[in-house]
Amino acid sequence: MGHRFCRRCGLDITIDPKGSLLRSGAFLIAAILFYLPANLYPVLQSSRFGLVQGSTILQGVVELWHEGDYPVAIVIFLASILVPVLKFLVLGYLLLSIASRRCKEIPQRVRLYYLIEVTGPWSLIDVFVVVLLVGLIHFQSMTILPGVGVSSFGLMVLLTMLAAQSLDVRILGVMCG
Amino acid sequence: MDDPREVIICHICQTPHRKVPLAPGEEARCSLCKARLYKPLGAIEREILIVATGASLLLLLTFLTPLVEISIGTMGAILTIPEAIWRILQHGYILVAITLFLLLIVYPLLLFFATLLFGLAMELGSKETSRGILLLLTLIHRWSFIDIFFIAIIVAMIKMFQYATIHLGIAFWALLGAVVAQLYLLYGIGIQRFWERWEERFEVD
Repeated sequence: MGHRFCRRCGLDITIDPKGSLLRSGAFLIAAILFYLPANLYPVLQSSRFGLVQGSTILQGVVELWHEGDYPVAIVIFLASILVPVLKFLVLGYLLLSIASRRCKEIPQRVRLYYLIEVTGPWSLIDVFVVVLLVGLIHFQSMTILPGVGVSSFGLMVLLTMLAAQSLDVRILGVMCG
Repeated sequence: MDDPREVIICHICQTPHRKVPLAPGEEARCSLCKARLYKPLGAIEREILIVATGASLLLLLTFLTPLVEISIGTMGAILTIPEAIWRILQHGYILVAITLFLLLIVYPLLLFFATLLFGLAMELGSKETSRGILLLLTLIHRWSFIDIFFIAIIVAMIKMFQYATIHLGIAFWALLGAVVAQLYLLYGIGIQRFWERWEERFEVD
């Protein structure tokens, strides 16, 4: 099949349903794999007088909740725990529905796709918070250090974004003729 | 519907529509998903130039001045954004540091400078240069995350509020300005309108 190019920007706009599905699926599986260490390992460690204590994202949320910082606890819970899982479910559903040539509710599925594309990067909030705390708290008696989980978490968010961007939304309609 | 200039495809649901002339203030929406399709364009070059120049200066200020200053008892610390990324690198998180460097410094700077150059190229009537810059903008505009970083600063400050005295630095306010400018350029105007204006300006067939 010949390639087609946008008359305005010159980019290749050929639709490649199989390639798009495979790329998106591969990124999604990689993202799910990174979700586990991201939540099992600490993203943040505090060192007080040489005593190092780590905390995972969920522990951080629980701590904030107990301290009464409810809005922040909710924001972190939504952005770092719930949204990534919802993105996995929605992307998985979209990929399966395309692979099985399900032709109903296409506009709704397209809207779902744009919803995860818009909300995707917001999960990076937690990584940014870690960066700020590590940058600010580095005193002799007390230091905040990044935890192993932060790399996995950052990778998980970026891979999910790549999975969404690799999925060519046009194939939702193309696969149905 | 043979002339492609008379057809517009919804960027959300891909439904094709025939373009119709609109009065000032009106806008066309998709018949299926109700997303905005187009609205009458004015000459937006000056607007783009002014906003992008201001935003570039604010962003430089964001990186060169202190973001936040904290004091806990007798201890104190001042933080700039490059310093925060440098500390992550010092702890051995090379991949995280490089990603942060790209998402918080390189892409935002590239976004504003490229927008500035696009405005200049449009003013000077350089069709191919403005097209090339617009293509770059189209590819990178999703990767500037200063808006999310700004919210992260607020979250971090709330976390530390109970333990430390916090003073917001010049960079915090400059970043706020840059975020507003970014939101205006990307959502108030939008890359799609940049392309439409480029087509209109150079009467592209």
